Amino acid sequence: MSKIKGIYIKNFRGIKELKHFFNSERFIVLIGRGDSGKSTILSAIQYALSPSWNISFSDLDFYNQDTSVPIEIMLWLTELSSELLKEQKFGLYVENPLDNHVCTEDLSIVLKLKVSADLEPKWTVIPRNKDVDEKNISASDRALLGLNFIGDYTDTQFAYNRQSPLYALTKAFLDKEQDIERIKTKLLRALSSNIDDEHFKVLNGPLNDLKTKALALGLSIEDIYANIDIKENPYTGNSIALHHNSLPYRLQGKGSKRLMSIAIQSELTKSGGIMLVDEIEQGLEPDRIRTLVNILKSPERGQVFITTHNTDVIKECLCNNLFVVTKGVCNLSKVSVDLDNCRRYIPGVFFTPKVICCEGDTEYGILESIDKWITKTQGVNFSALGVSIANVGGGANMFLYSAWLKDMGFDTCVFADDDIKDKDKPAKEKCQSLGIPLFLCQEGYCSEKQIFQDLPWNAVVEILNCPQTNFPKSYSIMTKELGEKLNKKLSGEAQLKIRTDQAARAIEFKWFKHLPGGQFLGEIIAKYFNEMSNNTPLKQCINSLISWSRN
Amino acid sequence: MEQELMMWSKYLNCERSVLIAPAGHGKTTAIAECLNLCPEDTCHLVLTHTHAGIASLKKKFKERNIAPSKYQLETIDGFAQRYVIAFLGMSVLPSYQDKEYFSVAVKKCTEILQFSTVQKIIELSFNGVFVDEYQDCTISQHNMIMALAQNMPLHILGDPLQGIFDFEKEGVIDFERDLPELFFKRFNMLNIPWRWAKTNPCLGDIILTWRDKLQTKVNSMELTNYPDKHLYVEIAPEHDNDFDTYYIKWRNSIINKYETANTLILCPSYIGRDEYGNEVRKGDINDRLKFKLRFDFKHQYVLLDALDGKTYYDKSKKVDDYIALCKKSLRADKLYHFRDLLESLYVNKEFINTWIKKEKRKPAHFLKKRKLEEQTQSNKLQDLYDSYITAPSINSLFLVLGCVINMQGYKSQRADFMNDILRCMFLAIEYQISVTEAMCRQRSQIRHIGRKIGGKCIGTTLLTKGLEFDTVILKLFKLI
Repeated sequence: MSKIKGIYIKNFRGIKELKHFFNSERFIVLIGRGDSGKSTILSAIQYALSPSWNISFSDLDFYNQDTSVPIEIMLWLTELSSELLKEQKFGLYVENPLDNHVCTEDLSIVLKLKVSADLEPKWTVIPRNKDVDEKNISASDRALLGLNFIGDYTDTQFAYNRQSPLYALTKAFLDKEQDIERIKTKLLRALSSNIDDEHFKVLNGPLNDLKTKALALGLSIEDIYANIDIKENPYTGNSIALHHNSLPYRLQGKGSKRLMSIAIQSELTKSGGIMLVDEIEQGLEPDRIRTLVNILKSPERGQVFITTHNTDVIKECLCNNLFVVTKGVCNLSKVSVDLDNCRRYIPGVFFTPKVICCEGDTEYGILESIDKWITKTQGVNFSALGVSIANVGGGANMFLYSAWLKDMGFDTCVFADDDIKDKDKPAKEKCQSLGIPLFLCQEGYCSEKQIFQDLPWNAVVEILNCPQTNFPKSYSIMTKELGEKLNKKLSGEAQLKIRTDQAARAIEFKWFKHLPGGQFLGEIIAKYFNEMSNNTPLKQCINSLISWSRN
Repeated sequence: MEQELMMWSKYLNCERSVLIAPAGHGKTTAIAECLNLCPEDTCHLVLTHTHAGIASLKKKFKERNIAPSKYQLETIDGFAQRYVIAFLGMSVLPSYQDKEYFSVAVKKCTEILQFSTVQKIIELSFNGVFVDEYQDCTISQHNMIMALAQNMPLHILGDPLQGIFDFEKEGVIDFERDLPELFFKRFNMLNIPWRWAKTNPCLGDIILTWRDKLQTKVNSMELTNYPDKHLYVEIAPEHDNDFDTYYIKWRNSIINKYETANTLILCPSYIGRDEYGNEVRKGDINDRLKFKLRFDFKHQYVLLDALDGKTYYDKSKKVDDYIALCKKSLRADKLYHFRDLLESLYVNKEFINTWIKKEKRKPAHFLKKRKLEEQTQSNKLQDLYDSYITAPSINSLFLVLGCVINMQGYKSQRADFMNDILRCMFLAIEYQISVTEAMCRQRSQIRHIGRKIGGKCIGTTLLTKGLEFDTVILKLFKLI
């Protein structure tokens, strides 16, 4: 059994170099955009701990297909089985400093998988100093590390072939004299005449515990048992398989199969071990995802690594479980406790490399409309550009969050008005010092004021004639008096006065302080964007926001 | 039999036990019996002093079919060295050639054994420790073993009367003082000389009576001739003039008289005095070589040397130095130095003189040969030597030496030594290291594997117990 303290990957698939120490974390959720290297990290762990005596590598497994630099995967492992810590094995290779306060659990070794241009994988344990050679670690010793990979499956995992975890589970349950192979042979012989339930009884022994486990994971099953799967070749172990309601388990839905598979694995690794689950949410409903994460979240022993693209997973775990993978960055970023609200309410931000932190519903709504508009006019959208919009709330929040996210390695900017209070100024200054682009209104202006000031007159009239579709309540924006004024031909001065007065009303009565309001304003801005003079702060602000997104 | 088993299990189950028994009384068997009693999934560390000791223990364990997973067999020094290098690296140790190498290793090992990191690993790896030939332990080895076994059973075997290392400078342990009976329970039950029971029981009896006499701390003891019991004592007759020549003649006749195909001649090693009255260690490898030169004209005897004998390192360094010289200097008489090198590798002088001539005030040169066969041999040697000189490297020198040992008339005082050097050169080529480094590696490898000896050998009690041989000739000297 084992636990991974740290990991180092070099020149493997999409990862040029990556090093990270998880310390004592037992539940590790790797998040990040597609192609950022999450699954590569799981594969690296899987290969390094693989109990197979050989793995076939190809040139495609090398970073940039450059085979002149070897693939190197190093794992710092702890909580090892005492068998591996004997000096005849790797006791003299422990990497712990010489001191007097260690317990056996803490002793750790560094395992290395190296693949050179000859594509032959070589598994070794690194010595404490260069005077000693690296020592090979055999497949059977690697099996003691207890790795379980739950990823893309073949359906044979629900059959009793030698490689299946079900086989291992049953074998551990049976006495020495009861041999699965022998039972299988007997069964297959019986198959030719008639099926004898007696033999199956033995195989069904461990399935009760499995049922309980599966139920805990949110999978309720009335009855599972081993039976003959008629489709399979009767001469391989695959012909005897797990059945549910007289159907072979391989014919169940994707989610159920996944849960059953995790149930089998966790039964098998009660005593610790490392479970790897790629894209845990596949085929599962939100409630099942949440249950599953909750169970995996606190393993008593061993360790669980999962990758996900699902916000429910993020909501269900804790900040310290989250590790963000960014393409081309040589370590993982941890999510600080400061961002806990962000994790809980806007978990989506962790999946894009760029985040626009906006002040409130209005700004968020405006950006949504802008997004639609650039999709139509420029053929791109924020999502395609790897940009997410985070509504982090007003006050100093947008500054604080953008600084924290920047600290984690995200590219952030702030989209807000600029009527901030004195107490929030330090946060703004910090952002400036970090070089975070601030897309703000003119100093002292709030968004409404800026919009009323900068849009062409027709646009202002259109705003004042707002149909208030989807607005949470109806506001009396267009008064009789105002309508009369608008019908007249107005001088520039009069228009200016209306702009100022109505902006003040809009702020006072919070006409647009909600999502539909923001969306409406955004639509108007988009509609009159080209008519706006180039030197208006509003146009400049939105232009630079778009060009920041595009870079 | 059952009683015996009871005995072993008592001994085994005692946390601190000492088994005292004279040579040939089955100490090796005792360890084997104990290991046999241990459950299948246990492993004991078995330590001894010499590689000869390892070899005999290994042999015994094999005979008794003891699973190799149940024991780990090592010399005390080898164990210390392994732990020190693993945990601290080589930098804390002096160079291999240094006399103090192993005593430093033992001291450093004692230090690291105090850490709980190391103790944890020891506890996980072993269920107990056996130490054979405890009488040969130095105080610091004793301290290391105490540190090693602080959390596990320790079983000591030895014979306080049998110390072979007692001329060492460092203090040797004293059973009464260092293994107080209060803490170390004594077991004293090996009364049958098992070793001699099958081959020569009478000899066993004689040895027991000698032992009893020694235990009473007598000053002198007459060695008696028992031809019927295959124990022969030969004393050189007095001779008035030219004693040395006469003595050597007499001695060689004695060797001829008794030697068989499997003979060991044991030379004494002792502290003597040189011409200025300073203490010097006598009976080292050079003394033994001198002794060999005086009787082994057929080059039949193998000179046993300590595994870490200084000569191994000195001579391999000579090879490295010679190559360095040929690379650096244009003027040096390289052939002259080559002659020197051959000589220091124990190649027979006579042989060297037939092929390479050294004259005063003239550079050395290859001798011209008349016979066709000799000509071809000489030409081949010259060709290889020339290509070595144009590009001096271990590889090209290896070819030259390889040629030398296959030439007509090649003889060496220590043929095995030349083989060792050649093997190391081969290693050096393969791993691209110096010959000295290769020698260090090879030595430590042998240290792990152990070595097997037999045939006709010259050695000391330090190097072999002599049990591998049919005939042992003990060379004694008269104490004046």
